[in-house]
Amino acid sequence: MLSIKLAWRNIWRNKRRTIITTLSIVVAVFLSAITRSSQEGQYDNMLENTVGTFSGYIQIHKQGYQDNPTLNNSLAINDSLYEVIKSDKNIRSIIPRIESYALVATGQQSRPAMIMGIDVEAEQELSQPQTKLQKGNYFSSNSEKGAIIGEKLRQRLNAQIGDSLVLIGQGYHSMNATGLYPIKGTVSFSNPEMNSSLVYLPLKTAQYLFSAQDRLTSIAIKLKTPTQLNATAKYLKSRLPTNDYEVLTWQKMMPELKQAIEVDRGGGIIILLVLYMVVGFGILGTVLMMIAERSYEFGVMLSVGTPRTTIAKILSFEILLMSLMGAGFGILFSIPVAWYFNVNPIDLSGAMASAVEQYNMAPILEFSTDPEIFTSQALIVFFITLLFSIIPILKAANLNPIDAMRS
Amino acid sequence: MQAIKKYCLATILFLFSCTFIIQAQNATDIVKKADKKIRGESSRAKITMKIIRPTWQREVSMKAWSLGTEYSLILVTAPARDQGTAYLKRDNEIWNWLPNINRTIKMPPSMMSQSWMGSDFSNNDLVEESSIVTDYNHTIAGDSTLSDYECYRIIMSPKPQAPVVWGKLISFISKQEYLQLRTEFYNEDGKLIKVMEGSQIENMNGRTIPTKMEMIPMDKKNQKTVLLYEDIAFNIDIAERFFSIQNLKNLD
Repeated sequence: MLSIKLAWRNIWRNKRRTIITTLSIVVAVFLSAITRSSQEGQYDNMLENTVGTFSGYIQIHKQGYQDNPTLNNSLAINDSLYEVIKSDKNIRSIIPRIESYALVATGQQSRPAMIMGIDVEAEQELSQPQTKLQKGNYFSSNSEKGAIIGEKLRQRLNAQIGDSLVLIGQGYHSMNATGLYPIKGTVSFSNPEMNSSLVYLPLKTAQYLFSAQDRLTSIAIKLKTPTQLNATAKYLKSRLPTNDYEVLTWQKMMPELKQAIEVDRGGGIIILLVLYMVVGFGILGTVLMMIAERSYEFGVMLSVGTPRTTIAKILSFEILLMSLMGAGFGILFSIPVAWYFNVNPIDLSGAMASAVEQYNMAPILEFSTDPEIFTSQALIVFFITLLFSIIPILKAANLNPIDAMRS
Repeated sequence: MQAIKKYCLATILFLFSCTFIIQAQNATDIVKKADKKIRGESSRAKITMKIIRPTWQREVSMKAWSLGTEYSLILVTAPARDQGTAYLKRDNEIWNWLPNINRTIKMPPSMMSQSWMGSDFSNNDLVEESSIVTDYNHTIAGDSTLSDYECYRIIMSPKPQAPVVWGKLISFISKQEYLQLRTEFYNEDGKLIKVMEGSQIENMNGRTIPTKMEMIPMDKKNQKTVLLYEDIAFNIDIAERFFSIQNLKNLD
């Protein structure tokens, strides 16, 4: 107890010294936490753009659809399938879809497009076409004859709202799939590729177009807590016959996205390691100086008979207290900054924005507020501080009292 | 001396090629007769096409008209949702009339090798740029019997400049009625790619023909396309202007 008391008093005996040491730790925690936060925020943004608002965290297909995504690999709708899915508590909404490709044309222009038959109600939960409408109106029923297309696609086709959109493609079992639908509205997504190639049709209309009545190519699932992803996927897999259905998490559906994130995270960690080194040696310098300053004091203490272990103990407590304070303040300062940029993401512009858009991401820099980032960074810096203090503490404890007092 | 030598060589070559031509003439005649038999100058037919796949099958009914080898027209009459769809072939171009979108589409070259209405026929098969009579050299390779019909086995190898994709064809043509009962299609490596078989030989409007044609691709199991001729009339009275894009929309 005495050594803790002494350590506490030693800290506040020279306030400037303490503040400098603590500040270097605070800055270290702050920098590493903000770096991680912006990185993870970017991944969240990426995921949110593709997984959270489009593909869903989990999808159920007919077995084999993932390898060969054609209408011939679509699944038939049945109630027991829905009941099984609904029985998991983590499931927020079930979004049925039928997807295929076709040529769309108006007048003289034609473009290849992704045709997506959507359940008018359920889709509002996931890709939210109703909030992304640029012009026109949303569908009113699942069998309505009309199409909502990407705003860029409309421009490329040189069409207006109300114009007829011609669809030419191939349906289930290679049936002819041709249809004529008025353009009801246009949507704009942050993903530029979707803007220029997506055509929404109401579910029943699309099923008729593709001669695939009561069939779906995929059932997307929105989760209440995305972190419980694997548990939910495991539950669904155990309840659905594996010969008929495949249950895929977003990592399985989009391995390239997962890999891109992992590669980028790896690069980020290297930068962080460099940061840790700089921080570590900075702290080493401060602590060394702090101890060198007090060598006369240690010499006196040793001369009057203080055991070397006690000196080491007092010094350790001093460092411990300072790094605790540093880590704590580091978290305190970084959270509001990260939170601010999480709520008000930085808008990218110019070349940077178009580069990001090429990766199908929204051109914004968003920060993550995942608490784990802050605690882990504080902990890491805390331990680095302790690690780099071992040498100065040992040095102080092993002082020769006469030399120490002379210098 | 030099001139005489040249002359001798030319004569010998000429004699050799003569014997070759005489032998080949025989086979070519057979192919010509068989071709004339199933084609005629013009024709009108009612056909049902069955597309058979391992897990499903479906039927398409149609009416077809043809004039020479240049013109043909096909109108889909069933299933109901495809009713009225029509295909027009003029020389080596195909147009597709789709009534529900009110449009005529010219098949782009990129689609020519794709399957026609999901069957084992490609759009290229419809165009039939090559002719078994003029684009191949024919030799009789022997006799064989196919479902009680005595047949000539004729090997057809494409002429050097002919627009042909096959390495060779082996055709079985019956000796009596000159019916093409079986044709094997080989690629340039000599691998068998698909087989066309004719069966159910019947008399239709005065002509004996196979009324069932099966196209069987060799590399896909349990998969084939069957054409059933319900009615066919040859040498009908039909004008060239019948085969126009305008007329596609007025067929019934």
